[in-house]
Amino acid sequence: MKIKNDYVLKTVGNQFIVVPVGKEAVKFQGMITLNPTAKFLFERLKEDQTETQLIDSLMDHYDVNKEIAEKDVHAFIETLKKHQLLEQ
Amino acid sequence: MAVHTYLIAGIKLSFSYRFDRFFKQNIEAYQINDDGTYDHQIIMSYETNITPPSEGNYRIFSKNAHGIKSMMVYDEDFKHVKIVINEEAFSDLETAEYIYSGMVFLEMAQRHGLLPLHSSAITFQGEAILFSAPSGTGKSTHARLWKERFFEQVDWINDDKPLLKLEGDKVFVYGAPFSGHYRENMNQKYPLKSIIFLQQGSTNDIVKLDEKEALQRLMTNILRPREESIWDQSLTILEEIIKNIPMYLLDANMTQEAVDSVYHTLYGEKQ
Repeated sequence: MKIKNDYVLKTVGNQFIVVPVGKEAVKFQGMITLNPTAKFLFERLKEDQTETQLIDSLMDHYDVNKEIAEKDVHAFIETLKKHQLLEQ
Repeated sequence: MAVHTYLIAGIKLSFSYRFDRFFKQNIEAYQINDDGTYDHQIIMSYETNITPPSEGNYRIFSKNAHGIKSMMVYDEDFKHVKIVINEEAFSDLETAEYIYSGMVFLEMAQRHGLLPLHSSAITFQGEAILFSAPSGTGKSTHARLWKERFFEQVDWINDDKPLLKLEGDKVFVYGAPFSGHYRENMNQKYPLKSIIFLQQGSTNDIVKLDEKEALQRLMTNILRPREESIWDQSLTILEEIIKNIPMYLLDANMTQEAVDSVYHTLYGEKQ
């Protein structure tokens, strides 16, 4: 899985947001704010990742147990799918 | 159609319009001597059968069952933009000309670090106050209440999409001749004091927005860039605004009490 190139992560003050460029800019009129976990996962997903790789990365980086990591990763991927941010 | 050169918010624009209705006794305040140079050029073209060019950049604005109603053809960096309007597809060509040329100018302005914000911008005591909301909420109406109340102390910078710019560490608000239905505007810039987001209501309660809410509301009311480098410019201004400019949400009714709420909040005393 990988996030479409036309979605970029930006920082405004201490907020992390995702904005669309190019073709996606015409289609996507909303704004996405990311909490630190989501920002971490978003950055990983700029390259092709499996769900397992994401869970492992999250556990390494944040010292959380597997159950929480699985839950967070799964929820984030569902959100990305819902808003069509993932490459097909 | 006479071609003139205008200086709008620091941008040199070469433009010729066909219809006087919105431009006459308005855009002249921005006119400068034509020395043959410009930052950007807008050309209006009225045709009856519009086909996209075989090469070069173009963007279709509007279509109907019969074909293209309006589009623009543009070069690198929007230096030259031709707006093509199908004469037979619009019942109100004057408004179409005004709106499309305004839209295109704002995209040009964005490329120079200017941030258009959908709002009615007034000057009061040497500073700019912006009333921001989606169309139809009542921002022009609210601005008018200020004019009624404070007469010559209030004037309009722009009643539709004033241009915000970061100069040093201060945010300034610039006027432009593309100024919505009522056309109120001035060729001046003023330092930004505050942005008041309006929602239609009855309480006139006013709350200060935190950074998260402020960013959300700003993002809803700006012209959204399509290129990353332009997003970077816009977000830089947004960051500065969020850091330094107090912003509020007003539950506004259409009376002077709404003005009281804002005045009291900004200037700390009952009027």
